[in-house]
Amino acid sequence: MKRPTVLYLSLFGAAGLVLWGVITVGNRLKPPRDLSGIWHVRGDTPDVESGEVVRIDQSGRFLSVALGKHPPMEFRWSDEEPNAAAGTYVVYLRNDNHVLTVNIRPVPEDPDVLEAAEFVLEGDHYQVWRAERRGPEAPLPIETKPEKKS
Amino acid sequence: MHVTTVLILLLQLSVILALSRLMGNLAMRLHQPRVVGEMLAGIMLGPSLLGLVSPDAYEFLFPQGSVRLLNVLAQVGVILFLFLIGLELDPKLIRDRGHAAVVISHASIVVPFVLGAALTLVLYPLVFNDAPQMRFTAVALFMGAAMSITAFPVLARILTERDLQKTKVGALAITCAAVDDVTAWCMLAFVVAIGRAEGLGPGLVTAGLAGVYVLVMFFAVRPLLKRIQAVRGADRQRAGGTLAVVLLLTLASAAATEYIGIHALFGAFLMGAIMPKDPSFVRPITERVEDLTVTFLLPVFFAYAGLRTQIGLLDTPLLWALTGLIILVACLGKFGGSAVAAWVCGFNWRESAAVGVLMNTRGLMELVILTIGLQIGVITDAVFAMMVLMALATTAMTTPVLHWVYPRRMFHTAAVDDATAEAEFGVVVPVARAESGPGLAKAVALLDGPKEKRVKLYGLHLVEPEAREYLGLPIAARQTADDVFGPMLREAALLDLPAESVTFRTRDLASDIARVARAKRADLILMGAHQSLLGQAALGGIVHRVLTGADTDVAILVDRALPDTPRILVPFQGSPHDRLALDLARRIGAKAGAGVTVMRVGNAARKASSDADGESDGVTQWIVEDSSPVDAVLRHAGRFDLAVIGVGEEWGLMSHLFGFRAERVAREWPGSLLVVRKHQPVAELHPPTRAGPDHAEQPVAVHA
Repeated sequence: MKRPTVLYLSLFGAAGLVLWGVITVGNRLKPPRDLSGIWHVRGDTPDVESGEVVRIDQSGRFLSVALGKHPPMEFRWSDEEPNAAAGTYVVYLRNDNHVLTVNIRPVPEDPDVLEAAEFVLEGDHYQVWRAERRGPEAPLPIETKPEKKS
Repeated sequence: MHVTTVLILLLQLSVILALSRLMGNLAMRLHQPRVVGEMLAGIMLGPSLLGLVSPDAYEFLFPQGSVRLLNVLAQVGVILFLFLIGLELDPKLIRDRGHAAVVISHASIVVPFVLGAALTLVLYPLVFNDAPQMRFTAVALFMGAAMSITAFPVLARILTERDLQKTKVGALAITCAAVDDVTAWCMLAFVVAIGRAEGLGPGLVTAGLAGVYVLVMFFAVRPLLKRIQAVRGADRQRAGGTLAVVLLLTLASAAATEYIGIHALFGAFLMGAIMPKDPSFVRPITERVEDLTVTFLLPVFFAYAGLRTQIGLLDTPLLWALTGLIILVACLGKFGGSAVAAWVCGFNWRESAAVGVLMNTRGLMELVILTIGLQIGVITDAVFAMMVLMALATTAMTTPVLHWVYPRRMFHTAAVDDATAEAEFGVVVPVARAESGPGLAKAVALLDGPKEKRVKLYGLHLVEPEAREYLGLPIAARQTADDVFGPMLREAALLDLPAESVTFRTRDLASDIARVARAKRADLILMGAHQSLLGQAALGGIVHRVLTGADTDVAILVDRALPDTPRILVPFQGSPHDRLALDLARRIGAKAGAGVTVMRVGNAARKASSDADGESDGVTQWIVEDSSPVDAVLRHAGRFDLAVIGVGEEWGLMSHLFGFRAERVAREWPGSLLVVRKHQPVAELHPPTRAGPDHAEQPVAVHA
């Protein structure tokens, strides 16, 4: 066989093997739990207006958490403690000044709610937020009315 | 004042278009593809720059919710763009591949694909979430596909600009890129289907529907298009109707694939790919769709992608390290895979490296794939930002690295050697229009000298790349080199004038004219006059840039029916430019058997100190007393057919910002005019002299 033919066949053979290996190993990896999205504050949260949201943008271990109208805070994923029996888990997020503990539990009694969480912020500030994540958000309507008058 | 959504949208579009053009032009000035500048413009408008520098302006320009409208426009733009990409796909490139092209094209897909998938092992635990759309298999396949894409349009454009498309390397790279394109979009359709499928059952349904769709496209839509081509192909009057039908089919195809679950872009691409490729049918469609898409909609896409790019998310050394790793793996996979395969197939290392560098260009296509990834949720915002930086880096590095590993071959012929340079009076003649060629050839013939130093004409046709920034290969070629050079070469043959021609594409006409003259060791650059865009300067624009920038003597011919035996006037004050004018006039006079009159203008004192009027070797000296040299020249204009005049303030021909100031002589001289500029090396520009700057007192040397 010519050299390019050998290269060609070995290329595909090797690529197939490597890809199989990568996918086999990769499927055992566990990325950080997905917390991203909008969490709606529950009515039983003290000192927080109803209708506030907790917004989380997450890229793996790197999170940006905005509690209500406060400016977003950057956190890094620290740890996760699942409680398999209760179906709950606790996630610890940290930055230089704060630890944000997120206690998450399923809400089987409400089909519209994916899960509920208690956000406990400790450090320079102390705050507790209770919020829930709902199903897929309906898209915002495209505005056609005047937005502002000046 | 009502700030309506429409008003905001119009404002957004204006800002996007303006910045996009500005950055695109800037990128081209820096010898980068326009797409690099436009990608940067998008990022600048997003949270990474505008949002950081002026959050209020950002909030005003892109209020929440308004971006949805931009998204719609961007999606339509990319759908039409992918249709054009498919339309430009030459099936011959894929069908008629040589042995090497098959190996290299597949290696350039497989190696980066596998490396991209392997890289996911590192990235997955760090920058991906445990979301349903981000299952490892989907992420790994997506990263593989994103790594293996090549920006066919950018690559094609780089090849045409560097005149490499017909070389072995260029032909190979373009073939491989075409194969990569088709493969990558098919892979992407597969990956999107996997990402969206919610289990084996729906996955199989998607695969089945996709199969049916492809069959329908090939066995129902394609024959229909051929029928349309047969009936309406050449009918220009019905081109609008044909375009409407084709667009309708494109949208239907895109909608079908979106519904099936393999993304609308695949449908648009396949629609373009199955179109009949007869230029008379395709060209009008391409031209109509391309203008709007490339000029208007793609910048909106870049802006939309820029709004989604948050470089601020990369705020830790680890994330920047991962970005570096992504760029490294991307280059290693694409460059390494292609280059090694080319080397194994018998290319030398330079050619192999050039193929690798070209294949490593990702450009807009990468951005399209990444946006899809973000939309279907298979990548996170941080990964999107890192991959956008990778796309920018790999696109921006292509031209300089290519220049380094595969230096530009400007000419199909070798540069002129010493012996040839000594034996000829080389004249480089840039020709833009066929009709100016014969006049310039005639002027060159007049410069012919004795046998041992004959004049040689180097016709030069430099083509500025057309506005087809993304599609690369010109479908509608303008004048061919034969069209442009034909009349000039025929005239040269009639005049028994040795001539050769050179054509290539360039972004910088003036610099490349100077470079060609240098390589050909030419004695003179002879150009026709040129009207600049700004002002009335006949010696403006490119002409001005060559006159002031070339390191060769330059002559500009204002041809006003030059007779065979012209009466020649050389206004003379003694500057180096005037002396060159005199030399050239003497050549012309000797060749044409015409008399040369050297006119010196001065006051009585100067007249007294100068040589008296007289004649030597066919050159007549004539001293005229006048306070205005320009008036003196123009007053006697009727006695001469040709003025050969050096640039200089005394003749109203001083270099200015947009051309030569005044130019009264150029405007009002009724006959033909040859404006000349002597090249002076920097060391000679300000020679130490005790006599002061008035060079007019130097004696006129009149030699045979």
